[in-house]
Amino acid sequence: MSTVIGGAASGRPTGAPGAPPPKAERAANHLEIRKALWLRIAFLVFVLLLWELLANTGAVDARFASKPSAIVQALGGLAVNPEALGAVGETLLAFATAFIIGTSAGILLGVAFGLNRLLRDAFYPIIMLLMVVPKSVFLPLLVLFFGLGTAAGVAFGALLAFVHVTVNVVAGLDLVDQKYRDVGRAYDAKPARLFLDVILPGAAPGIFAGLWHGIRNGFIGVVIAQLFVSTAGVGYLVRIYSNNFQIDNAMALTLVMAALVIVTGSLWSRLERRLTRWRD
Amino acid sequence: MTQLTVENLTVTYGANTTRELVACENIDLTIKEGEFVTIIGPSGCGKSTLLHTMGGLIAPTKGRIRFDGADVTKPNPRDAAFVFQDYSLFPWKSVEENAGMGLRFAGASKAESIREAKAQLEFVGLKDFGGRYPRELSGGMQQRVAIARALALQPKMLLMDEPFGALDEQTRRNLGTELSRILGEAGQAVVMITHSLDEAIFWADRIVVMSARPGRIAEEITVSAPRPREMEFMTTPEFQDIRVHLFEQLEIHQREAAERASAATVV
Amino acid sequence: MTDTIARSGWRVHKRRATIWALRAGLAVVVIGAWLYANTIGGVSPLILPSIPAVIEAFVGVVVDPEIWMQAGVTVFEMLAGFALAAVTGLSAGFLLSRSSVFARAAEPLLAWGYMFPLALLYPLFLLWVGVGVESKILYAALGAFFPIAFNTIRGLRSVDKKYLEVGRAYAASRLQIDLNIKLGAARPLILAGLRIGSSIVTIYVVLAELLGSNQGLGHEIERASSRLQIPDSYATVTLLILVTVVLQRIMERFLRAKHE
Repeated sequence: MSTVIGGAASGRPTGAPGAPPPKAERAANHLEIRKALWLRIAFLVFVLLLWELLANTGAVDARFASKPSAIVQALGGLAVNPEALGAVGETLLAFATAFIIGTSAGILLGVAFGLNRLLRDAFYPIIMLLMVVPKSVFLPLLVLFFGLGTAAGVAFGALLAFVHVTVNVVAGLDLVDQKYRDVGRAYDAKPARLFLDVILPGAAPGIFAGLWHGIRNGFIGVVIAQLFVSTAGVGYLVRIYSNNFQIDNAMALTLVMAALVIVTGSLWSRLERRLTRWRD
Repeated sequence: MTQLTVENLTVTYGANTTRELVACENIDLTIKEGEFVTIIGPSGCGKSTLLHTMGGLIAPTKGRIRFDGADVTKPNPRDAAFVFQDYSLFPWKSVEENAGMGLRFAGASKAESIREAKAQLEFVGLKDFGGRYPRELSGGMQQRVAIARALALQPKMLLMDEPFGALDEQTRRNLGTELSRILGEAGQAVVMITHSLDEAIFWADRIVVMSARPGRIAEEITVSAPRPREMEFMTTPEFQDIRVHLFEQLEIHQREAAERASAATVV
Repeated sequence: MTDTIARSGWRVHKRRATIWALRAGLAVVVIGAWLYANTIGGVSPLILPSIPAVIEAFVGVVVDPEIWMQAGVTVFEMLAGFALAAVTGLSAGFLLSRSSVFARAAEPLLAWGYMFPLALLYPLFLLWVGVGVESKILYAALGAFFPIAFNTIRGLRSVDKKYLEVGRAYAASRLQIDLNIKLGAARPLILAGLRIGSSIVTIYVVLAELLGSNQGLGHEIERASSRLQIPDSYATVTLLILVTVVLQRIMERFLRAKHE
């Protein structure tokens, strides 16, 4: 139940008797999707124009709040700024490392919990506790252990990803109906077969949702840690820009990172929908 | 006295599109006060559409529906209350809240609706279940709650869309005999869709047989034995004769539908 | 018959024992590693203080009335941030869901907002709102707003048609349908959104306190660490965990549907 956001849409509502032919409905839907798209674009344009206008008339202080045109300009500057490019590269590398460590550990533990009731009863409450604890409290301790370099960021990102992936994988395995397991058992399937052909496909939605959370939290973890302590990466650079009142640069860099994580997450959701289409 | 009339009714889905679909066509039907009418026909013959239109849930494409002489343009549960096939109880409300929901929608206070709901739950034999939630009840009990929800409004008529469709044979039979008592005492007119020949005959003053799509009324059969009936009615010659006749009729309609479907694919 | 019951009772008993043995095993490993690091491992006490030192510091922290003042600040920030996010997120979701086009337009925007690395904006937040309590509340509320609004729209828009049909058949008004049917059917999803929101609030409040503030438990941790009072820092982390866990438990009690 914790994986609603970003996960695939929930079950379809049941149709009324003799519901209208799907084609007409689809045409109406299509029109609505187009309208929604334009509305969304109009809203974003409106916000940007309003921001620009307020900044230009001095209603908001552009020194603190920046303005869209200045941010675009700053983007151009960052694109040829080796320091910024290096920071982005470094953060992406740290994210990739954190994601791989965190999700593989999460999947392993999640599968272990899903398959072994005893392990799960013994240790799952600890993971659930970690889920509830604001994990940022571990930052100062991680810094003690890993120092001010990239490693603390990797560790924090991996920790966040690990917890969320574990919880979602366990939830995914829970989704596999007992009756399908029983079918497997009734036909005397070998445990490996049962796992590969029954449990894993059944758990796919949960695992996909888990990896989505792994992306989001791994990324946010790395960025937070860099912001908090590191002397490298995007988080560090944004902190420096902010402290030096280079708000345009800070905003521009933030936007770049936001775009990266949002695009990655959306691509993942799309892939998920494609791979688990059999569910409809 | 006539209560509800269906005059020359046609319902078409997706009118004026390439996928136009005529659900039912040229239907004339009258329901009298206190009468029990069952509707039976091959699946997809538009009987559910007909019932929904009678309840004001679907607008007629052609023709009209009148209740006590006035046009039916939207649902009016005080006239005709709907009972759905899948019960459609709200899982987030308790049983007595569910039973009182129709009254709440009609503007009754919470206290009043609960009081009436309790009375109706007692009437349908669920006195001790008011505080439970629907998922704690069996299918048959849930359908009784749905019937209590309808009866709480003291409607003049009940429209029941395959109310026992989702129940097993044994439950159907038990609930059936109990309901014939309940509905007999309550005295409403009832229009009920069913797939079961036995049910269609056992309950009805009149059986409406519909043909395959587009649904038309093929035949109306009057059952003369007085209601409420005992189980023994099923062994009488009248019951047996009607059953054989219905079986043959439905067979014919079913075959016609299949032939038309295969002809359509050839073209 | 009684024999099998006794035996299954015994089995449950044995299971319990095994579970606790496994947990005890984990505790032994952790404590063992800790002791090893302190002694033979030669890890500096400035990174990992000894267990007695942490316990001593914890006792010192817990009896200090000042720390409870700070804990009060943190809890207040969390509750206020959550209340703000819940009110704005629920009403935005409710209003947007009334139009299918608006809902469709808003859903991706809200999902993007949830993915946005809001942490990066905190230094700017400090510039705009200052280091006081307000910046923590606003910041946390902003983070929690998106999942709450998103789930509210999703919930209200994915109500099973059969329930809406009942409302129509019983001539319910639009308001009655909203209150009695849509809100009821959407409750599990809305509550899930609120639970996600409440956990985001605690994360962002603590983060904000660590990054820049003059009050709160996060600030105390930061201060102890920067003064190299490492046992105090461990002790305060422990206290903060306890406080937030208790707070979350209480909130979860309210955020669970009755019929679930």
